[in-house]
Amino acid sequence: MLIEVFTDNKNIVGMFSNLQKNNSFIISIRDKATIGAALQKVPPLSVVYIDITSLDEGEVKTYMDPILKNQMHWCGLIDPKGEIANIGTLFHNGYADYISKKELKQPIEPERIHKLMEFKACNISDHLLKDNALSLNIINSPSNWEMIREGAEYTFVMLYLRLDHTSTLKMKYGYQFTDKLTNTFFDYFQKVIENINGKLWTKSINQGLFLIPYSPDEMNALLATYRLMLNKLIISGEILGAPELLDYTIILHLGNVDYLPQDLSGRAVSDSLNFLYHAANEKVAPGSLYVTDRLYEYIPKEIADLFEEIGNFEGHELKKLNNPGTPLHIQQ
Amino acid sequence: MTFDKKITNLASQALSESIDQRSMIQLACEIIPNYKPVPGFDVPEGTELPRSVTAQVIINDMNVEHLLVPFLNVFFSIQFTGFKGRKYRISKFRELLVQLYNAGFSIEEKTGLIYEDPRYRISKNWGVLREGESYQFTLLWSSILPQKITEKQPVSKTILKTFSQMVQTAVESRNGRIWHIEEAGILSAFHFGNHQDKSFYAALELLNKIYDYNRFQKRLKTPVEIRLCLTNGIFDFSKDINKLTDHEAVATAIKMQAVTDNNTISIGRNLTTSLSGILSSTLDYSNENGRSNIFVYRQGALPNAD
Repeated sequence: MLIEVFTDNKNIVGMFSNLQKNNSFIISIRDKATIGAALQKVPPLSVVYIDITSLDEGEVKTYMDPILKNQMHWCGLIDPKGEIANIGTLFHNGYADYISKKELKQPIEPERIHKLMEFKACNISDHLLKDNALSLNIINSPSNWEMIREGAEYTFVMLYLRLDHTSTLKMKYGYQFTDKLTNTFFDYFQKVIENINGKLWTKSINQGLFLIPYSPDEMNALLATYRLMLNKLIISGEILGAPELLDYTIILHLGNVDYLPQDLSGRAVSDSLNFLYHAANEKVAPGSLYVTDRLYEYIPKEIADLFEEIGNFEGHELKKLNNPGTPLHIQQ
Repeated sequence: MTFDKKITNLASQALSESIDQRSMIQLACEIIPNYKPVPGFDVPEGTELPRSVTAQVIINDMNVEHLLVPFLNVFFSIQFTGFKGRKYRISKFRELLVQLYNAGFSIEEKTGLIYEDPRYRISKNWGVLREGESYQFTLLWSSILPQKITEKQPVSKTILKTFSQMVQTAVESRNGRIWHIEEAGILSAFHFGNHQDKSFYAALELLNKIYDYNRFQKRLKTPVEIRLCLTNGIFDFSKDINKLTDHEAVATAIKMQAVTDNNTISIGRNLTTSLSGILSSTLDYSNENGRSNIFVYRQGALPNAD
């Protein structure tokens, strides 16, 4: 979940420190001088906070009315000096949050963000969500990674990967063993995905994101990930040396992102990235391969019947692979 | 197989520098019973040969008889498992290993056993097992069922060939060996390393590959179905398949297919106790259809029957 905060106040920046530590959120702090241009580019389904210090009512209305009208963002105002007289009107006009002077010293917790999303969600129509989700401006990516330029926008197949139940593994086998296993897990998957021209772009503890330059004629990601699921027992026991069958989650999506090198990937902002992490944390059950509607046409017809619809999430339909490689004894 | 002077000279030097004469003769007797080193020149009676000469004679004799690798296995064991209650450090061990690698051999880390490297040479006895000697093996019997169309028809040659290649890859990549191929099935054996687990993973790979093959092979009118049987036992090695099938373990592996469901793996009870936990936890026990003491591995979704 992307949270854009327009402020020049360090105290206000500090309020978002707890959210910054949380893997579910990407916090983007912007200068207020950039409000006019930057607001137009904020990806849909993001949270936007404006610090209204030194802004008069007219300016706030000019900046915020178009966003509120589109209903594609959750908007909040930060009022360090207590300038707003009628707070109730804000919510009538479509705002999802208001941070008062008294709250400035308290860090914002994830629960607040979840609540404002629940409060405002019903105002974002499925039709708007779906239209926005399916439409993607395809930007051809060079298949040669050396030709991909920093800062330029491209379309990638985005592969989210997570080793599941690491807390349970730690309890059973210890922290050191589990950390080592997690590293071995990512080393192996990195090699497999590099073979289909993918690159590990960002990684955090037990989850990571790979990018594969999009080419409609060479969509190997679906077949490769299906086989990673089919061979789960061999991968868990023989290749990774795990003491039990591992669960791992893969989500495949197609999206655009301004490419940044791996050490700066944390700064990248994209509604597709947003969606992936959101889906991973809130929609999908662990241990399966999921594909979003943007990639449905690339599912090989030979295995299409193995996928089942699991419904809509944030405007995207998702399908889940019923893994034929899971031992029946374990399934039961 | 015989080796060149580079290896034999290095081996005799290593032998001479690692243990005393009496012990090296005792090691040689494990390969050739009642062995006595006889130098190629006259020696006055009662004269003891220098240690280096004894070592040289032993190594040359073993090499001439194509027994140098089994002897080196016994020699290396004094470092890994010990000899007469004591572990010895083998002189020039690393240099000897390098020469063996160059000659197409590999070494098992835990036990120090040398075997032929499958990248360079594949033989039924891994280049080291001796005819008539007793060893422990895990056996995999892989059979492909006649494809049913309207009547029972023999499996097409193309499919048989493809299946044989799949078995070869699954088995040899895990240092197993194919012992026998016939239309009824393929007998494979595993001996080195954790051969119990390796045989299971080989069978699992076959199951997954056939599943994939059935899904993606456009020319098939009916899906290919296989049966995989695993068992283990200790018996005398032989290059003669007729002698092998006399052994209970081999006969059991082949007979198990009659009580094995299509596209499943049957595992003999004696093998399941040796499997690692991750594998044994996937097994079902079934006494139905004439099975006894057999465990079964089934996948979650079977290939389409139509």
